[in-house]
Amino acid sequence: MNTKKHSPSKNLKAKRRKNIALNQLNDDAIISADDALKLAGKPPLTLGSLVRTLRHLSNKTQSDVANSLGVSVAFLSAVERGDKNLPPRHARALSKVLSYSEEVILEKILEHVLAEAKGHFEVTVRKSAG
Amino acid sequence: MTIVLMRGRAAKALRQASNRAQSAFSAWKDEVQLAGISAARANPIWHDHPLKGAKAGRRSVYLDYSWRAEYVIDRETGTVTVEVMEIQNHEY
Repeated sequence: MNTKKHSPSKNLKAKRRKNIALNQLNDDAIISADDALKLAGKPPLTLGSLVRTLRHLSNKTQSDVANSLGVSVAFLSAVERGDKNLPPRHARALSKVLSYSEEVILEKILEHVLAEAKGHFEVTVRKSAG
Repeated sequence: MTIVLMRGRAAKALRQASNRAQSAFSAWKDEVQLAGISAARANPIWHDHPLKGAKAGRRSVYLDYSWRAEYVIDRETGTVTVEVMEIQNHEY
C-alpha cells in the first residue's frame, strides 16, 4: 500500500497563500489595485486579452473589428489568443473602433514585442506634448 | 499618473467576480492609470455615472452584465486618486 502523502502543487500552494492574505485583509484597508488583481489571481492583461475584453464591452464581433483594421478575422483571432502581435500602426484604428486609450493599446503591443524577444523590460507610453 | 486603490472589501469581491469582470476591471484600471480619470470617464464603454441617494459622492463603472465597480475621487493631495470602493452583483 502506498502511504506517501500527496503534496499540493506549487500553484495550489500559491493560491492558498493568496487566499489567506485576502481573508486577513481588513474590509476598510486600502491596497493598490495591482496588488488586489494579483491576490485575485488575475495576471496583467496582454494585448490579446485586452482586445477581447474591449470587444465584448463594446458589443462588437471579431468581424466588425477586423474590417475596421483592414485585417482578416483569422489574424485578429490569433492576436486575441496571443499567437500574433498587431503592428503598432494599427494602434490608433484599434483605439477608435474599441473606444479605448491609444496609449494603453500601444503599450500592450510593445510589451508583446519585448516578450517575444524574451527581454525583461517594462514599457511606459506617454503622449507627447506636440 | 493616477493611482488606483482598493478597499479590502472590494479586493475580496474582485476575487469572486467573473473572469470577464476581472478583465474589464483590469482594463479600466490600466486606462485610469495611463490616460487619467477624465479620459476613462469620457469613455462610453464604462457607462461611468455618479450615484445618488445613500451612495452620493461615488461613481459607478460597468464591468459586465452583473458586476459594477464604485469609486470615489480624492483630490485632497492635489493628485487625482481613484479608490475603488465596492464591486458587487448589480441588483436590478
